[in-house]
Amino acid sequence: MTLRPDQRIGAVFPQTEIGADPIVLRDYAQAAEALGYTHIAPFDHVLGGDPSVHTDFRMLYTYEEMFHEPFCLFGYLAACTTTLEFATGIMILPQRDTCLTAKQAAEVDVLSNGRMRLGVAVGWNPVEYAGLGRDWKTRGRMIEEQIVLMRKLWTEELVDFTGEFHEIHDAGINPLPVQRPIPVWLGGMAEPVIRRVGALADGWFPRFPSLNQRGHAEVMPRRYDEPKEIIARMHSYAREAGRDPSDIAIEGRVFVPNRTPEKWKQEWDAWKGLGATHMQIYCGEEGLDPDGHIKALRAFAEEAGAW
Amino acid sequence: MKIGTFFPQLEFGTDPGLIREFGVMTEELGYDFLEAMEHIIGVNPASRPGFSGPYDHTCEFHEPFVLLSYIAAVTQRIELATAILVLPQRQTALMAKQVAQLDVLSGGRVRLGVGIGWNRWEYEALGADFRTRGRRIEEQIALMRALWAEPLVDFEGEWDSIRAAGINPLPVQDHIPIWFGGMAEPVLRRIGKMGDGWFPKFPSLDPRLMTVGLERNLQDPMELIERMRGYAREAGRDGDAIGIEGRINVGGRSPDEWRAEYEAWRDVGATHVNVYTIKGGLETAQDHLDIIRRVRDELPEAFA
Repeated sequence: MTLRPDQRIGAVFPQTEIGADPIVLRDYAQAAEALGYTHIAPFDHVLGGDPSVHTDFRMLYTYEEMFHEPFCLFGYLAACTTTLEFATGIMILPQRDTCLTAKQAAEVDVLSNGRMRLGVAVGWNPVEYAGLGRDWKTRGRMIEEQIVLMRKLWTEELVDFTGEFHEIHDAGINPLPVQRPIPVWLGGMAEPVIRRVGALADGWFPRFPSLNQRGHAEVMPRRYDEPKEIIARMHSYAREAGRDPSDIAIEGRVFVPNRTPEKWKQEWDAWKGLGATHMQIYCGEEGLDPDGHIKALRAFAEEAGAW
Repeated sequence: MKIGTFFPQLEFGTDPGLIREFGVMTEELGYDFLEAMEHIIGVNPASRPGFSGPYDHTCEFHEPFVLLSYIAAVTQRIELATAILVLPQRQTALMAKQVAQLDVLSGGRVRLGVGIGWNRWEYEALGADFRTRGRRIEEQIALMRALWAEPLVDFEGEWDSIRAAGINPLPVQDHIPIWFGGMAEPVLRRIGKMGDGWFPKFPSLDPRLMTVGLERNLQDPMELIERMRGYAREAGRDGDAIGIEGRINVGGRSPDEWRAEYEAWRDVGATHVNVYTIKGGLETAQDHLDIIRRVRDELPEAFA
C-alpha cells in the first residue's frame, strides 16, 4: 500500500538524525517518493550556538545538531527524484539575503521542474542572526518585505522595488523559476504571524499542541487557544486583506514513531476536521536511525494509504 | 595538467535533463573537473549610463551551489568548482555552510574559486559594499576557514562576528581549496598570502580577451606568475605549490588552435586548464555537449 497523491502527505526530513552520508540522503528521498509521499520538508539552521555560552534563551537546537543546507540538499535530491516536492519547513528567511534566496529557490525550481515550495518563518535564535549579520529586532517587518520582493523577482525579468530594507532598480534574476511565483508558506503561531499568513501566505504550517501532544509544543506555550478559533482568525485576516481564505493551504502533522495506527488516524482526522489541505509526518526525537526513518515512512504509508 | 569543463552558463538553457547530461558526460569523457561562474542578479544597462561589463539582466546564470549539488548527485569522481564566485556579495557564514554542504554531498569534491568581481551595479542591487570588497574577501576567507575547521567559532571581524557558534555538518575535506580570479596587484598579493590557486587571464594566451576589455595585463605571463610566487614566499609559503588554471577557447576555433592554447598554458606551468565553450558561436545545449566530446577526441594527450 502506498499513499495517494490526493492525500498530499509529506514527511519532515529528519535533519538531525539522517546523518551525513549522501547515499542515505538519496535513499530516504527515493523511498519517500516510491511510497507516495508528495513532499519532504526539512527545517533549517545555518549556525548552531553553544548553549553553555548563550544562556539567555532556550536553544531548541545547538551546534551539535546537524542540518543539511536545504537549497544544496534540494539541488542534490532533484537529480534523484521525479515527483517529490521540496518544501523548506521552515527556513529562517530574515537571516538570509533576499535576492540570493530568491535565486537559489528559483534554481531548485528550474532543476526540479517546478517542485519548490518555500516555507519561511522568523525563527527563535538571535545568535544565528548575529552570526549572519542580520537584525533580530526587525525580523517581522523584514520577512514581509522579503516575501513581496521575492515574488517580484520570481515573476518579473526586471524589478523595481524600494522598501525599508531593500532598494532594487531595474534588475532581476535569470533564469526565472518554472512556478511564477514559487509558493511561499509561513510557520509560526504568534498573532503577527497569523495576520501575516492571512495577508500574504500561500499556506501555513501551524502547531496546535491540542492536536499533537508533543514535539516542540512545550517550547511554544503561547497558543493553547482552540485551533478552530485560531484558523478562523487567520481567515478573517485574509478577508481583511481582500483574499479568499480558501486559497490559503494548511499543513497538519501526524507524529508517527511509538504511537499506534489508531493514534495516527485520530491526529489525521483532527487536522482534516480543521480543513488541513496537506499533511506531514514527523518521526524525529524518538531516537530513530536512518534505517528506522525509512521504516517509519513505510509503516505509515501502508496504514494511511487506505484512509 | 588537469582538464575540466566550464559549465556553459549563458548559453546552455534550463532543461534539467541536458544539464544532468553535461555533468555525466564531463565525467564519462575523462575530464577532471566541472566548474561554473555566477552572478546573482543582472542589471539593465539601459538605465545605467556608463555601465560596462560582459553580463546584464539578459544573461542566464544557474546558481552554482544548487547546480553543483545537482551534478554531485549524478557524478562520482569529478571535482566541482566555482570559477568564480563573487564572494563579497554573499553572507560569509551562509557561504561556508553551503560550501560545506556541497562538499558533504559530493564526498569531498569541492574547489572554491572566488573573486571580488567588477559589477558594482550588482553589488548595489544586493545591498553589498563595492568599495571595501578587497579587504572584505580576506576577512571572509579567514572566517570560512575557521567555520570549516571547528565546530564552534569565535570571530570578531570588521564585517562579520560570530560568538560561540558553528556549522554542522563540517566539510569532508580537511582543507577546502580556495582559488582566486583577478589580475590586479592586490589580487596577486592575496593569492600569495592565502590562495591555493589562481585563475589568471593572460591576453597573450587567450585571444578572446583582446576583444573584451582586459588588455590591461599585457605583461609577460611568466613575470606575473613569478610576482605572485614572490608574494607567496614573502608570506612564508611555497609559491610553486599554488595552482594555476588557464582556459582554452574552443567554440568556433579549430583543433589546432585548441592545441596551441593548451600548450601555451602548459608552457607557463599551468596545473589546470578548462575547456571554455561559451561565446564561440555555439547555438544549442547539444552543441556544447558535442564540443566537449570533440575536445576529448582531438586532444587525447590532455586526457592521458
